[in-house]
Amino acid sequence: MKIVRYMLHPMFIIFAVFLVAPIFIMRVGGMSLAIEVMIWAIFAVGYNILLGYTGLPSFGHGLFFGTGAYLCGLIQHHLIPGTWISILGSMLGCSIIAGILGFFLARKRGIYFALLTIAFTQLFFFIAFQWDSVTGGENGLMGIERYPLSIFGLFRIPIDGVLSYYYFVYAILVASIVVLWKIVHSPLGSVLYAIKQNEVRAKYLGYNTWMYKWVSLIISGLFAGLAGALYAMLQHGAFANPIHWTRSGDVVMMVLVGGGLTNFFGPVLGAAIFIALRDIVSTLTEHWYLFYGLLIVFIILFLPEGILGYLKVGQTSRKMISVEEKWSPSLSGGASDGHP
Amino acid sequence: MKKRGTIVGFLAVALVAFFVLNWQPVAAAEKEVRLGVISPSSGNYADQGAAERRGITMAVEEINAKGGILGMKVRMIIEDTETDPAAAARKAKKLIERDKVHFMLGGISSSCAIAISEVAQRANVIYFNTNTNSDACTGKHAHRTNFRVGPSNHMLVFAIGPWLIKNIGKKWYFMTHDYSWGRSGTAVNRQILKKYGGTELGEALIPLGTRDFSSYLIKIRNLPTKPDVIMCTVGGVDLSAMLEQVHEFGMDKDYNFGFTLRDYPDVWAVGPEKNIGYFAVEWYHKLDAPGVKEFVARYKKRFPNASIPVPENCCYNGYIGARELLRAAQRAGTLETTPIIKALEGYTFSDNMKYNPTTIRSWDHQFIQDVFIGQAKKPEELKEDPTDFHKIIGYMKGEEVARTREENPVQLEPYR
Amino acid sequence: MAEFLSQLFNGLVLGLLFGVMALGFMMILGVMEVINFAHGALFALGAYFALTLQKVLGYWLALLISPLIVGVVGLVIEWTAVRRVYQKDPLFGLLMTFGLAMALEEVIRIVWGKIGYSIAAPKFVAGPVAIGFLWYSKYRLFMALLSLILLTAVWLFLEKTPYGAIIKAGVSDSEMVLALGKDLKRLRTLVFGFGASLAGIAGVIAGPMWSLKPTMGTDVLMPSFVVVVIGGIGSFWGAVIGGLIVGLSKSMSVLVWPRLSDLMMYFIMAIVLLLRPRGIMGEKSLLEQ
Repeated sequence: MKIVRYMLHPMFIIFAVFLVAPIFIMRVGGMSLAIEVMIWAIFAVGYNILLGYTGLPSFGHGLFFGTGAYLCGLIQHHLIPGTWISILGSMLGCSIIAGILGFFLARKRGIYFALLTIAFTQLFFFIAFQWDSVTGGENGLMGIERYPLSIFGLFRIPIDGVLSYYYFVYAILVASIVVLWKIVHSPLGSVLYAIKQNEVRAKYLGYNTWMYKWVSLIISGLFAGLAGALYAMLQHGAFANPIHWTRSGDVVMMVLVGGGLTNFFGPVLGAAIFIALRDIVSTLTEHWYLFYGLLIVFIILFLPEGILGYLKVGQTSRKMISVEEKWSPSLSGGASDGHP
Repeated sequence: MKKRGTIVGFLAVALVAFFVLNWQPVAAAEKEVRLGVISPSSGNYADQGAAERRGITMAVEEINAKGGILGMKVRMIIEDTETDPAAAARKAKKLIERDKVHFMLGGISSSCAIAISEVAQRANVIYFNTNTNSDACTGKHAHRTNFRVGPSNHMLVFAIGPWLIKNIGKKWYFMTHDYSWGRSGTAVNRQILKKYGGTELGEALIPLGTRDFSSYLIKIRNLPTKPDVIMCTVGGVDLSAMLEQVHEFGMDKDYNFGFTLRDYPDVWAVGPEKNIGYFAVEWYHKLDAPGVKEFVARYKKRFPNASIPVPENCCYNGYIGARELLRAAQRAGTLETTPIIKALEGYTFSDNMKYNPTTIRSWDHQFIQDVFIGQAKKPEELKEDPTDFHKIIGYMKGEEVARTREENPVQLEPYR
Repeated sequence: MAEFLSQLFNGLVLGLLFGVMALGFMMILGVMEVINFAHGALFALGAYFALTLQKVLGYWLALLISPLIVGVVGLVIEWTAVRRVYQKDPLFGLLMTFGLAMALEEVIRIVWGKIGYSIAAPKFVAGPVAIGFLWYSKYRLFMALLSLILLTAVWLFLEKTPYGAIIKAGVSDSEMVLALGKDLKRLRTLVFGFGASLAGIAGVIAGPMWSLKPTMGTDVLMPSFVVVVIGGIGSFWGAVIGGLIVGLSKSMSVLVWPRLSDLMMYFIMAIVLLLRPRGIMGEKSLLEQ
């Protein structure tokens, strides 16, 4: 019975679905798309540490995703051509950038936080776009390779093929989800959650909330950098566009659609749905931005808790809270505007 | 337990639904030729993309009317690049992996074309980039499978630049869009100044997305020496805004403006009042070359409601690109990549609606063709024909203006 | 020297327009606590309505009516969608207006096409004018005048009318409005419509200078952000001063190092944030909780 319970754990289900998915996908094509789903899932689950667990609405996380992609390419071109080193370098670099920006950001919350993240992402977009001796500017940083994996110098596993790269990303997805799950269920996760619920109270309880917010930024930046590096290897290039503010809604939507605000695994579902929808609709109509825009409005209006939240799935864990309880501003007690 | 079950259901349904919905059954036998058309229908270059797709559609329909190629009809599969290289690479992958296209065609934005050609080269699929100008497309980012239909920046600038030096003056001031394309345009312009002994009076680097040029125009007004020519490499929406303001500040009356490139849709947008200066033109619907009149007539018949009533340079390049790609497959007698590349390399065709034949250069895959020099007409000169914005005042043969092998030392990948 | 003065003047003129744009953005942000991403799209919509109306009604009526239509669009948006996200996490308002911005841009593309347009400036302000050393555009002088009139009107409205007092109270504390027994719901709808029509009027004014394209809204949105961060949320003078600073930073950096003209405002923003985290005129508000 215990085994059955483990097997029905969403983490296990996700791992299993992605493990066997290529059997079906290989037949119809679209492996790249499936890889993209996993990469965005890593990004979105990491981002959700900041949004869903710490309650900091960053609207500029494309900054870390895009920078991770660039760092991956720059390390390959100028330092060492290797897969591990470029991925680790991107993660390190992005967490350093997150740390620096964190000095500005971690003191803020709410709308001020969002405003600043937007401004910073646009600043980075300008730098990436104009500094073309380093980033390739408009043309992007091309020629990013997927070098064979070397394991303790004993084996060399090629990941150049679609299927091998799929399983490489799969392995990283599994590791990332496990690590993030551990973080969320650690004492650190509890403090982050306490900050989201009421920062003042957390402060009075003796927590240095500034530092915890800072750490949460760094964690999400690190995973965004990881996803960015994987994405650069998938596309064989790094571009400035993912940093632009008009793209910064993507990851937020993934978290929201899936139900990331109430469920750890929401962003995975969200990433799958978002990318699938984008793929289908943008082929059907050239006006897909209209549908994308209206979909966002629709989700906010009718499904603010996302799909998993709407279905009231998995809200048994101590992390899960209802939207009403949480979003009422602490000072007003939710009395205004006729709401209870 | 029940709740967990719902998760299982949802994840499974989502993933399965996604791939089933996306499943486009590919014909088992090769009964059709699939041409992936990959060009922007949203983003900054949406209107140029629409123009180029009109040209491609015409070429494909004409070929299909004559029975297609290799006894098969040609089917277009259209994808939107969103004028975003990351999206372009994704769409290229989709066309190759799922639609199993035989060739790809389209572009407009150099950055998108570079991203697509990287994907295409790895998959060994021929890609024609139709309306890009960046030198990098057939230079630093040249590939065996990648062909460029339109002229490069180098060709355009070497057509207009020397003409300006000879006929207008040697003291130049540069307005440069501050990103790769703009800077490469000004770099070539500097070569011209050096070659012909001109002087540079300065440069204004303009960030992309600049809507207000007043400060730059004031700066030019206050230059100690009045420039003979203000040479601009500014593109897209920003160029339309700039033309508005040049007119607004009365600069068009007192200064001569040169432009590295002028896309007809940009001029169409601002209208004859604000159409100014001298510029390089890739092709023009009033050229006195064989086939032009008929082409314009066919266009008008096929697209009576198009936003631009005449075919312009993007449409032309789309048409020529699609036609030559399909003809090459016919010549090669196969849809295999390498034989078609070999059929294209070094090929010359003369029904190109220009004065001299066009050659596809074998070592960098650049289409070597005539480049024209245009001058903006005054509004009163447009009375007869409201679409006739330019006066064509000269042209250069492609081989006179293109980079030589020494100037562009590319090495294409081996055949696969 | 002549150039310095010309650029200084030009920076101030530009700053006034940025001020008008940012003011509408800031009012919505201040009263509703919503970052209105659709502000750029409403700006574009204003220009496009003017384009169509001008052909029928002439310049002046178009200048008057298209902001009103944009205002109505704003009211409809508020009434159907935006009002449901008040009092929720700021992210919801942000995302919703982000979605609206995309949808509106696409609507422009469907209605007016992908191609760009040019609006003619009225005859009497077309062309350049020379005032001593200063060679300037007549239209811009006209625009500066219009912006000044607008800013004064908004200031008078905020300072001298009871509605203004309520809005100001809403900016500093929406609880207070409730305590005063005013109808917060209607106030918010009106402010949204008002902010939208300010965006619309900025679009009408900017149309003849910056030319029309469906994407014209996206690029002008960022300066509004920066203006608000520099000036501080919830202050009329913050928006004006922030606007002037951004305008000046754009024109003056051309004198020194043109490449920086767009980055400069971000640097100023960073410095302001280090010295005065709430912006120059910002006060501690509910937004920070």
